[in-house]
Amino acid sequence: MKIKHLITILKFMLILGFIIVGASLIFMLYNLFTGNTNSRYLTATSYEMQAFGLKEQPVKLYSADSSISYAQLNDHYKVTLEKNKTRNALPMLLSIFRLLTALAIMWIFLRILKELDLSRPFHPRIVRYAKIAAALFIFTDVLNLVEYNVVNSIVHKAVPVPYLSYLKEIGSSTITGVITFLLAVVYQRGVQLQSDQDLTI
Amino acid sequence: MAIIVNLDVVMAMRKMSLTELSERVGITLSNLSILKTGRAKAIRFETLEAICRELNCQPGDILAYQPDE
Repeated sequence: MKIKHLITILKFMLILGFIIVGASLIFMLYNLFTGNTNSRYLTATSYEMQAFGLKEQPVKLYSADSSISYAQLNDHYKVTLEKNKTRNALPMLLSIFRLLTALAIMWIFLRILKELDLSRPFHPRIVRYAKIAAALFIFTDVLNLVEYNVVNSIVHKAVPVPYLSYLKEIGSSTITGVITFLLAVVYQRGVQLQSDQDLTI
Repeated sequence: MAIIVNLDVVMAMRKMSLTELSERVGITLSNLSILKTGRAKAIRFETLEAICRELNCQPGDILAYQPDE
């Protein structure tokens, strides 16, 4: 497969993702502002949570050939923040911000693919876009961290289960952001080298 | 930059236009213009050789060093 075809497929996937996320966001905002909380587009936010610190150890079972062990976790919870309560609005707001960030990241990558010219691959605008994308990835993790603390705080006040904690993956977006930033810095050096090459007579 | 390009001076002394020199040397007018205006980052030996050949001069006549203040 040629790189040109790969870029076309990536563009198509990004446009599709952009349309889906954009439509979800529009429906969500529309239902939020019209007060239509029963709409299926405005689902109540659910979180996978686990109660750490419980004394009961799960029973470990083994497969027939003893190659796999498995245990049923009893301290797993699915916590749903009901959408008609005012104090649950903040996680919903964070979800909207996350959708907006996802849209921005997809738009930035679309712009990068649009600017990419394989005959002259290094363009200063791509460096700027890559740095913005890196910042957005890190911002996504900041939002994740805020959501983690907000959800934990809301649940701890209302649910009497001890050490209940939101199972949220935090840090992967930051790593992606840092890698994107490093690639942008390397790419910036490429832009500089291309500029030097252009100005060599 | 500390390196000064005196191409315009040598060209004026030889009464040669930029277009004529670009045709003789075999580089584009825009690249020669970049060199003349001092925006070039580097010059290839083969380009310098061709310019010196066509202008009948030494590299030192075209390039000069002036320390930055």
